[in-house]
Amino acid sequence: MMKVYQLSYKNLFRKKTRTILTVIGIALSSWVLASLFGFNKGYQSSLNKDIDNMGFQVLVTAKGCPYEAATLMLKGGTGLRYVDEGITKEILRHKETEKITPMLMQAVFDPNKGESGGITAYLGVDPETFPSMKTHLKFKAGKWFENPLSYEAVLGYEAAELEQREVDDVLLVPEKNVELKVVGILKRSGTQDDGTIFVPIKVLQKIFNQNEKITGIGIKVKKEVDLSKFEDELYDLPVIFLSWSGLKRLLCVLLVELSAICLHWVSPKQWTYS
Amino acid sequence: MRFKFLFFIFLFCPSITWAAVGCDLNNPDRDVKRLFPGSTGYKTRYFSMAEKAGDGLLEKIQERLGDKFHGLYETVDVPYTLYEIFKGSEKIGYIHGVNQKGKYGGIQVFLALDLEGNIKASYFQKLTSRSAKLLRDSQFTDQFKGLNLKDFYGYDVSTGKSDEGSRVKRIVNPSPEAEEDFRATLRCDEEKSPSDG
Repeated sequence: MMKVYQLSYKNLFRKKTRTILTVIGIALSSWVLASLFGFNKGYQSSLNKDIDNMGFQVLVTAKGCPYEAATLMLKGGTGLRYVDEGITKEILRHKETEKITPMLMQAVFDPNKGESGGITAYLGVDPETFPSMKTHLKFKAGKWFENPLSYEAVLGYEAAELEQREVDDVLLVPEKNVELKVVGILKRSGTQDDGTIFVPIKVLQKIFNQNEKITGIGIKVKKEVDLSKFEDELYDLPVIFLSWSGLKRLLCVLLVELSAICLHWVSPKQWTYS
Repeated sequence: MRFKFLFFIFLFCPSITWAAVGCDLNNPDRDVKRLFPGSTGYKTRYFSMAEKAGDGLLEKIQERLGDKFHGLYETVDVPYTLYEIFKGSEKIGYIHGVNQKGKYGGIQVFLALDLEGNIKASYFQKLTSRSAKLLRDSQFTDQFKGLNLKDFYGYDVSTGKSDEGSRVKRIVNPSPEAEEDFRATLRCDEEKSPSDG
């Protein structure tokens, strides 16, 4: 038995280059493995937090909306796809639905942003349903709008910082030349809401002449609902169904596959010294 | 050295009536070349009162101004950005911007300065105002060229008045409706000026 260890020990020094390369290979793959596990864990936790903070598990948007962001940038805020507000009633009829909140995203081209102009976006939300679904949002100052028809705005912390707005200040909507009174400033949440300017949806529809039009609906479904079945039920509606849990599953699978490819690539056997 | 010290001190001077925080260039590579045509490179430096001089500097400034920091965004740890501009290995100037509160939104004003504090160019990176077009027009911004930061010391941000004979007094507001934004713009420059002339 002793001879086996002696033989192994001596063998380590017989071909030093091989030994050094093997040690480097094992160290590198261990390092990559530990990093990937850490990255995977951090990514999943961040994803979970972001999805929980959305306040709803499902978002439906008008068909064609995956191109919405690109369209928004290329066309200076025009060309968004809309769905009729009446669709909310149809979604509410489904027994799987617990709560819904309609949203309208609008953007204007502001020629006085940067050297050659930029986009300013506004999110129209329903004062009755949106705050109850976004309970993680806390106020640094002020509160949500009380009247759904008042020309008011609530700003995420970063939006307020950029615009240097405080409660009772006035905010000008470029291009439309409409003034909004700031009634609330949110605390930092670490989500996209930090950079968002919230406006009552009815007011935003009026400002942008998009009466009874919306760009998305946030849906909170009841517990134990089969989301794929729910999606099938909504198939006939002119909307795309985005389930955050499905997206999360897809991203996690992609991440695991990526980890496997990386591990395979740095595996010591790939570097076998012959 | 003395100028640099004063420049640093008054970079952080708080407003008597309005809040202001630091800001970055959106595209420094492009903007530095445009504001300093002869430059070949730049270094970005970040300062905050908290990390440089702590509460001592804050108290000194507040005592000198007879006012306290206020507003949601004007705090002792706000980071300010200073771009040091180089031509080869030689430093030829600075670019500094301030995020200022305007009537309808944030105003971001940048000044390109030579080493003596003379203004070579001014640039509104962001401006929300009904008179934005007039304020961003070169007819207005060119009025700042050639002025020295020290010229702004005689400008009173709370009343909008300047000392007799001050070169700042010659700057004309292009739109009477935009008086608040005009004064906010001058206030940005005042913030960068040394106090003892």
